[in-house]
Amino acid sequence: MGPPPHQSEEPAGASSGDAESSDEGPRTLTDRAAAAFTAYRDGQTQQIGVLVDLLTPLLWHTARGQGLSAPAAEDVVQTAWLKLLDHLESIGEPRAVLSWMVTTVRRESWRQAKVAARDSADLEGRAEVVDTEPGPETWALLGERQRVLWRHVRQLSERCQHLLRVIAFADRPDYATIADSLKMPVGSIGPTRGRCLKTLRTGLAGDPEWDGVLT
Amino acid sequence: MTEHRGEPGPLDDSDAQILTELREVYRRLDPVPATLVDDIKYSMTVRLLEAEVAELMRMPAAQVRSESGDRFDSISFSGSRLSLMVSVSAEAAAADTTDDPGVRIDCWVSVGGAVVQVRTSGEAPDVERSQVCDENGRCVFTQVARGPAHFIVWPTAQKDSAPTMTPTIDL
Repeated sequence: MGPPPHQSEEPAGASSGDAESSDEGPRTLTDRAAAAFTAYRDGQTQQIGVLVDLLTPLLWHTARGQGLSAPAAEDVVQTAWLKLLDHLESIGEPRAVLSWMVTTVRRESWRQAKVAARDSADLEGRAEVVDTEPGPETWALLGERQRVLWRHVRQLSERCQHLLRVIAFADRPDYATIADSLKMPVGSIGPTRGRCLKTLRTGLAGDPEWDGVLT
Repeated sequence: MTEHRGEPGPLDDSDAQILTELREVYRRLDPVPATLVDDIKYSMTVRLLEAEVAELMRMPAAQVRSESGDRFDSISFSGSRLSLMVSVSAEAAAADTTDDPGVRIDCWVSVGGAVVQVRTSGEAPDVERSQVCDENGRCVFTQVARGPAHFIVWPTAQKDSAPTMTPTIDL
């Protein structure tokens, strides 16, 4: 595995110390993933490690957002990366690698949830669903403002929570492609705000505990 | 969930700000497991190299003393094609710096002329370094960064057969 620029979960442009997001470098997660994937296929073997560093946070939240337990989500994400090695040549356009990975994780998560559902005879197909409602210890991890945000996010539909959770780990130009990979309706997000984010903003704007960005 | 009519409008900086804050919330509530990225890279490397994974034979707790008196950890790995023993000792720190000089790794492979690669990952960027062992299977790495690492050993200098890969250890 190669030398990644860092091990952080920041997408492009999110941290000033990130050399990959300089003005000269690729700007969005799609761009950066495509650059690493192209370099890897051109023989720079270490670049596959860069790709893993870039996309794993988003893929983790893709799987977890579908209700998988942490161990199941780890399995799914790891399996998706191994599948990529089997399909290197079938991904024609390097810019498609991000959506290919998201699609693979989504399908594998669905399959895992279905198997688990069958095992536990949960007809909803959502066995192994984890209650992500934070306990007191987890709640303590959040600041005041973050708790307000979280409270409003939890009021959104599951699909909206899933969508916003995943795209939060990408960059604006990537949103529409990622939403499509998650099988969200066209126009869920990007280039317009979409229904999920609009609902969240409306809720926050009406909350006196939320101040700042929406005024 | 409340429905709101009307066009949602184009994404703006406020949306970006909310999503940035939301990302931080999820990073705190449900962080990517610390070992996941390294586990993925490890399993991808095994697949890509069609490597055999060697078994850890002796735990790093087995500390012994070298002739010079430095303490070091000695660990053995065993595969079907070859075995590897590594001894890890702290490098002496230079007088004019507080930087951690890392560790020295002495390697012995059961076949002469093998290629040993050490791959380290941790906070610093991942690093790969290779050495060709002498006819007695011995080679040395100096100033290796501390942190998680694993070794990949090819039986011949030509790397023309499948390598043996060790589990990840903490240097």
